[in-house]
Amino acid sequence: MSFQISLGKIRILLVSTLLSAFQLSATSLSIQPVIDVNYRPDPASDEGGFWYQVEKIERDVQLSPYRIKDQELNEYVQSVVCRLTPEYCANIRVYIIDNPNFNAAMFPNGMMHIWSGVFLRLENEAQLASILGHEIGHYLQTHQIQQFRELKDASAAALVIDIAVGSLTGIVGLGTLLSGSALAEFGRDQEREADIIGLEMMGHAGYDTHESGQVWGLLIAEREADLSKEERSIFWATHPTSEERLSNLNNQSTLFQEKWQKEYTREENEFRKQVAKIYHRAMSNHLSLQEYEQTESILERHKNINYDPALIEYFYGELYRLRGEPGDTQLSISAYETALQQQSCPKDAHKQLGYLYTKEKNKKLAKKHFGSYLENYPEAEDKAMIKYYMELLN
Amino acid sequence: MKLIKKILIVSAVLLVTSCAQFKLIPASELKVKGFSVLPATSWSKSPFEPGEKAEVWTIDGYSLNQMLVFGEIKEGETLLKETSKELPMPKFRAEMLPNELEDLVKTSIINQEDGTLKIETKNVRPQQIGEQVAFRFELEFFDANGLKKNSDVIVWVKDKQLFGMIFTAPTLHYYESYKPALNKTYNSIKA
Amino acid sequence: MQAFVSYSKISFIIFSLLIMAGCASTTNYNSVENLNSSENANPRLIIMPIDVELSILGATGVTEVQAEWTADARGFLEQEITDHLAANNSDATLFNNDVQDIDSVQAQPEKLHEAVGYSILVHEVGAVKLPTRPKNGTWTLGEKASVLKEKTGADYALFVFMRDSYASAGRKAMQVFGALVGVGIPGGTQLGFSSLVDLNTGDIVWFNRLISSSGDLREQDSARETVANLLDSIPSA
Repeated sequence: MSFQISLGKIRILLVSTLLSAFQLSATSLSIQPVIDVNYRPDPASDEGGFWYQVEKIERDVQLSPYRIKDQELNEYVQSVVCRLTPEYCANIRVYIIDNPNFNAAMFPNGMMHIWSGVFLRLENEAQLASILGHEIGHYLQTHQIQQFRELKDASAAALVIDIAVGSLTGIVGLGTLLSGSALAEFGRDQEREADIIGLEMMGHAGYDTHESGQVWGLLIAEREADLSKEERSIFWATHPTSEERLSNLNNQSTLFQEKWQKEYTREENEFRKQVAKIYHRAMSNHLSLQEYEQTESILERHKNINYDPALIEYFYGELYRLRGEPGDTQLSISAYETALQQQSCPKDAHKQLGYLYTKEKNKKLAKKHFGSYLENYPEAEDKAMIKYYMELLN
Repeated sequence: MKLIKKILIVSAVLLVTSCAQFKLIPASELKVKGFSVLPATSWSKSPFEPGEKAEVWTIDGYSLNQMLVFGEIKEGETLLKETSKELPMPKFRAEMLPNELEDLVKTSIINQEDGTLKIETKNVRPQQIGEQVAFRFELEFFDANGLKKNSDVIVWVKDKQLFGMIFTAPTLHYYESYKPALNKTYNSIKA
Repeated sequence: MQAFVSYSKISFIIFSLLIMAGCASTTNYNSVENLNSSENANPRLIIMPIDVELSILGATGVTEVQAEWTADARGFLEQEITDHLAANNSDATLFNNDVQDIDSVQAQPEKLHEAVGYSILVHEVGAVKLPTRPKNGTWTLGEKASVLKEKTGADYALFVFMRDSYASAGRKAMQVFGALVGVGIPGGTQLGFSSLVDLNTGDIVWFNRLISSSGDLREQDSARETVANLLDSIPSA
């Protein structure tokens, strides 16, 4: 145990030594940051007003019940930011927001939001770094104030604020945001700039830059699997994508790696360990979106990542049960049964099986599972309901 | 900013529809949405209808106490109106069991509130109302402004149709202080 | 509450409200004659963090918060409110509720106050009457609001919300529409609310709404007038 811990420390030491050896700083980027580390706008300016409002939002976010406060996970994400940009790391505050959609957002004052849905899609730390790096790119180039000014001229600045408020806790949800006719969209050039900065930061920090293209590939695949809604998420609305962009990223990545030959890593283990901590919560939330094709494609991918197979099967059970299409009862039963063969399966699977077997008029199995549920949770919030059903079955 | 917007929109909506005012529901037995109930206190019925087969009452204003009353919801119909195509309302199915009705109620509330509330369920139990068995449970969540709230839900399925009442109030003071009156009200339901 | 109402309808209503409101109007609710104190001394008040924003109304009709004016206005208001209350024989101190957890006894009374204040605004001093609400009936946060008393020793808590915006001359004609494109009120208009909570009972003993087409919170003298308008009807100590 102590051996592992000290290894971890050595690794961190090594990383920081590497960083200083490379003299890594924002100045090694091919695009120079617009702001320096101590930047603050003039309070009398439009930008000062914009920051003021964003700072107000940040105070709400700090208190939001929809913020994931797990200390280790937060420190982990912050450590990736610091690895990407040691220079600006102290300026950037990442808030993990409990929202199953895919979105990340950067604010002009250094507040960054990353929604829990992001973690459900990614496979390793390098991919997380590509998202963080891209958002840091927007920050370093002050894209948001530029966008604010453009929209101000188009009488739509209030909308930018609205979007800020909306992504604040995820509370004003997608529906509201998308009902606005003109969504804030970073320009093509701004997106390209952020892509380049993100990619270079990744590379200098030793992350495999090819993972950046992988992320876009994953997202495109997920969108294609989603038959119901072509352009659902705000992320797609604000981050226009194309095959072209994907190939740009891949080309940039190849060029970068040819120029700076070094060791590149993807860092899977720590990333997955951290995600595992919020996995149950985030997947449960995703199911409540009723976006079953999307959930299915995510679960399909999770099979190849070594998340707990019992949990994956359990969520397949949940998915089929909630979807309720013909044949889903059987699929659901079999998924829960498989999941329960392993210790780590959430024991409320017994309750769901109890109800499913009740539906199937299989009294014996229904009673058995209701019984197991109560054995596992003698103080369950719905124990009275379960007991009532067990009596009905007699 | 949010507050101002809300005030502007709400006052505007209410003023525009000022011909449709809040109406008094006295504390006496009434037939509503296909069942009968004797409210323990009087209520003000809102001109706004949250669902095709639902109405909403309040005493001191929506955010301090509200009662959602619904009934005769048939197979394939929803409890609340959709506020956004992106957030479809779950549809009622006649063979739904308590766990599914719980999900239906929760998802309906979540999607009415723009899709991202996190709701905890508590104290799920059967409740006899006359010949009919109803399901009763409580919910706990934070609203969009960070105010903690509870709901007390009673639902039942009769003749393949969904009926029920949902009382919602801030956890602080308002929820607890109405509890005795609420129990009396729910106990008076004749399905 | 879905906003099917178009902006032009809303602007018409706000416009009518303002016409009806005249230059500077206040509408208040009051449930006590006098303020009490627990120990035969001046009543002690805490002033909750003032929620103020000053905006500029740009050429295209968008309101934009002006951080410098806002910071100045907060300073003026804090001072003028404290002075005004002192003249009313109340000892007022600024209170900064350092809340770390939204689900706490410190945070929730403040959140509940927002909800109650909103109801008073719409249903008590506003036009939307509820048949279940007697005029001047009790509005309360409940007895648990006394945690603020335990924490501060104060008898009352004062809440202040204020928005003010300024338009260029050329914009005046467009003000009404501009307010709705942006986030606030027609240019040059102040909108404020204030309420006083009795920390023993949690009851709101006084509430006032201010709408004014004059006044300027960027200047201390003018801020003094606004505070006088806003707090004039507060029960005397």
